Amino acid sequence: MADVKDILGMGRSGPAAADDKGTEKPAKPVKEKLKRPEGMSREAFALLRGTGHPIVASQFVSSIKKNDVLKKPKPSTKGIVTYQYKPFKNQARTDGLELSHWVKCHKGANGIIREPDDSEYPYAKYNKKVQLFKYNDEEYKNLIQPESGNWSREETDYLYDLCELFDLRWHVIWDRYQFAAPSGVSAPARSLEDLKERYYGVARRLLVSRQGREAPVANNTLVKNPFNKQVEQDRKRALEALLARTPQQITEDHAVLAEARAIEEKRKAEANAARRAAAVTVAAAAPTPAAAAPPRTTSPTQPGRPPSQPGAAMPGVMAAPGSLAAAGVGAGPMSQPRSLSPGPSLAGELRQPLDFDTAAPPGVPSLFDADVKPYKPKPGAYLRGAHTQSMAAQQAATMAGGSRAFKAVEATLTDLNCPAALLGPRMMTRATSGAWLALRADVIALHEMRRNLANRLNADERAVKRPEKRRRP
Amino acid sequence: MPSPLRKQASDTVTHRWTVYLRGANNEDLTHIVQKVTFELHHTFSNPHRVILQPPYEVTEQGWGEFDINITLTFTPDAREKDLSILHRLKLYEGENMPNTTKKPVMSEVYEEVVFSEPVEAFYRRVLATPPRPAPDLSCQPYTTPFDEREEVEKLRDCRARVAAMVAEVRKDYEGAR
Repeated sequence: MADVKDILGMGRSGPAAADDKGTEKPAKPVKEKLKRPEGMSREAFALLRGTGHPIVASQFVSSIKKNDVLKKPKPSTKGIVTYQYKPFKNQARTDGLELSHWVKCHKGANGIIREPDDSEYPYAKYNKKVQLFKYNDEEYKNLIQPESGNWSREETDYLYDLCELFDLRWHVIWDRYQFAAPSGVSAPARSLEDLKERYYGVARRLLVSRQGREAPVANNTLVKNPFNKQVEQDRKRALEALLARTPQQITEDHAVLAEARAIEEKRKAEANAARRAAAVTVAAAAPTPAAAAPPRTTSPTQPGRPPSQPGAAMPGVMAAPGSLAAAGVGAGPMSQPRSLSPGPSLAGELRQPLDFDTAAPPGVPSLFDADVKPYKPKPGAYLRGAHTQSMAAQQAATMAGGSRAFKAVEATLTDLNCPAALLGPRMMTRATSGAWLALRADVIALHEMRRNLANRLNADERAVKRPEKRRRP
Repeated sequence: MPSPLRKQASDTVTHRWTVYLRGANNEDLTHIVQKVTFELHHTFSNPHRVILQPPYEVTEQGWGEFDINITLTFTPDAREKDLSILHRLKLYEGENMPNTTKKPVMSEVYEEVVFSEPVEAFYRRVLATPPRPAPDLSCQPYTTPFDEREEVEKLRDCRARVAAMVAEVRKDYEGAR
């Protein structure tokens, strides 16, 4: 009960307190007594007050009443608008024709003030004409007459008139060309090229003579690209022939183009392969200090042994797959003569020697780089295992096709079923590290070849399909 | 210069192990290596163990496998920077926990150190020094000799197979022309 009274704001003691409370209320000043503006509805105004959250009116009431449509229009400064029917002349016309049209004018207090710049007809400025190079009699006699061929002076004048009339639109000129020779001899039939040739020839000679030397006008199109009748005729004939090809001819043309593209690609591929094969060289005998001294006791070294055959892969040499396998098996088991030289037919397929010398030949650096070439790093001590692993990573990184392609390479290495293939030999000597890097390079090359083959097959398919696609509308 | 390392399983508080550095066929390395530093796990007391003369080895007892950083410091006339090898201590052979056999678990890694353009004096001195055997390690009877022949043959075999694959693809290539 006491809580309710508390809520209602009434006192706890009884009626006496209630009276006190009652008298207090009217003494409390009424603060908010805003008058609702007349333009606003009651609900809208209620939103503006009493909600407690700060709604700020985005528009003042006075601005709402700005564009009242019932307002009377104020008189404008220029005067009352009237329209007058006035005659006008077109400066572009040559015959002085005068027509009339309605013009908007403002009527002032006393008279009529007309629209400004009434004199110039606004559309006259669009009347553009072609600039012709016209000759006078002297020029004609001296320059043009000697080289006119079968063009008479009258015919040339007639041609010029037509050009001016038709703005050098040749097809119209040619259509309207009907020269009746005054001497009675009928003029030869003039083709479009003849007309053009005559006009451009005359214009060029005039231009050159007026400027004096060739130099100032060398940039002018007329001089730079003189009109050549023969070229024009050939070009037009070729265009017509092109348009008039039958469908069979079209397919033949496409086939020839596709063949040309294929031949070009083959040539490029062969050039690449030849380049790579030529890059495999026998180790150069440059006298640089080689690997550390202690002779390897794990395999007997033969200091005087010449380096093993490079086995450079020439693309032309191809051992038949059957004999290849046999040679591989034959060369496998090693007996007493521990010659680490490759079998010749096997070597024909590989880019690098099948085996590497365990001890580097004198003068050859002992480490290998990513291309399995002897590699001399900066002076210092290096760990062969760490270096070879980083070279292997470099091989993977520089492979064309990115990490996706490399995953296929890894898969192949795993399929070989030899842990050393994927991870590297447990014992990294010069021979093993060279062999491992060479193996990886071979697998990468294999995958590249496969991809090229697939691309070539796709390209051929597409080249065959394309002409068919064009025929369908 | 090869330098295999290993560890050994033993009794009591799980394992006693030894990490060592040795020449490939147990040669002496003192004419090239001045000292070897084994950096053990930081939980070991004094983890920075410097060994100044052969046999270069550290024996400890513990329970866990971790990476040991082995730093070779070369003799001063070589003027080379220190070379670091990282070796994982191996206590367990495969998945079975305690090592039932009496033989210790060996994990040796073969490495070659290649000196590129060594200092002339160093080079000549090393070439002139005849090889001699090093003092035995504590685990000497268990060390295995390294033979590269097997690796070479395996890799050669792989390369032959890859060459066969290449030949096949090349045949397809020719056929597609």
